[in-house]
Amino acid sequence: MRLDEEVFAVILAITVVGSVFAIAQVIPHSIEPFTAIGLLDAQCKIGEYPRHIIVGEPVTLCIFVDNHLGKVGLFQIRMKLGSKDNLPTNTTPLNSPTILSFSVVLGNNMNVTRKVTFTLNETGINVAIVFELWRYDTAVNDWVYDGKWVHLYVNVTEVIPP
Amino acid sequence: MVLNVRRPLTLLVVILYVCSVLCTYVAHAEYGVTSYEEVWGKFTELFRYVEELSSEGMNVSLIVSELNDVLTLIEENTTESLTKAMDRLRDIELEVSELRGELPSFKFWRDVTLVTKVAILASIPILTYLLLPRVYISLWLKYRRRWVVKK
Repeated sequence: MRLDEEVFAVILAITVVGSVFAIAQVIPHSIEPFTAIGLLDAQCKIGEYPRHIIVGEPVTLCIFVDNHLGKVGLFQIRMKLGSKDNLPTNTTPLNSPTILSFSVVLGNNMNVTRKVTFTLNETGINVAIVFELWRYDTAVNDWVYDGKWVHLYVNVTEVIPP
Repeated sequence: MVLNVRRPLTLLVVILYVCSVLCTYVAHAEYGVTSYEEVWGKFTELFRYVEELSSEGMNVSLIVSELNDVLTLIEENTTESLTKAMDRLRDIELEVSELRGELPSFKFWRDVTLVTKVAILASIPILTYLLLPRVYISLWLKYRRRWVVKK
């Protein structure tokens, strides 16, 4: 086999392309920072969400929080009650009292799934159980609404409907 | 007359002693009580530092785990749990200050490593251009050294 100029040029081209690709991988590039919140059932899976809840009986759900901010984040999940016409938006949280909350510190690219158990004391149709994601902002030294929430519509009754 | 004076004096000394003991107890009790605001203030202060360290790429996973334990204690919000939380935060503070001390050196070596990696990768095509023909020729010669030319 002869290493003529054409073969040499091809080998050189492959090394140039490979080198540029490797450099692009090595140089840290800024990614779009984001967070995520998810609602899971009592077994911490997607699927069997409760549709009917009995007043005073404990209900268990799982909350999933994911951090891709590029740094450690201090998050708080706030559970509130809303309705079809009263839900949070991307910019404003629900204007209802917080029933339950918990905080968690997450490293970059880390996530957590945590069970929450609560009881509802009032009946209602299509009650929205809302979980909002809040983040501690060190620039303002306070909790700020992260613009993300999940909700589940349930009917809260005194007895199980037939 | 002298005997009458000794009795109230003794009583006064006893009263002063009891007062001093009570004052010491109250002062210690006040010092020992840890308020929620105090613990939360310390927690957020440390979190700010940890956030800064992590944004620079330092490994803070152990501290994150410890901060989560402290959060659990803070959320219990009892005198005992807050005192425990404060103790844990003091330990974490030492770790954080140690990491903060290492930050300039970490950033320097991180940048040096990055530049070295890029330089090595960038030099591969140049080295290929310069060395490949020579290496090929030397190998070609090495494997054909014993060849005999047929007339």
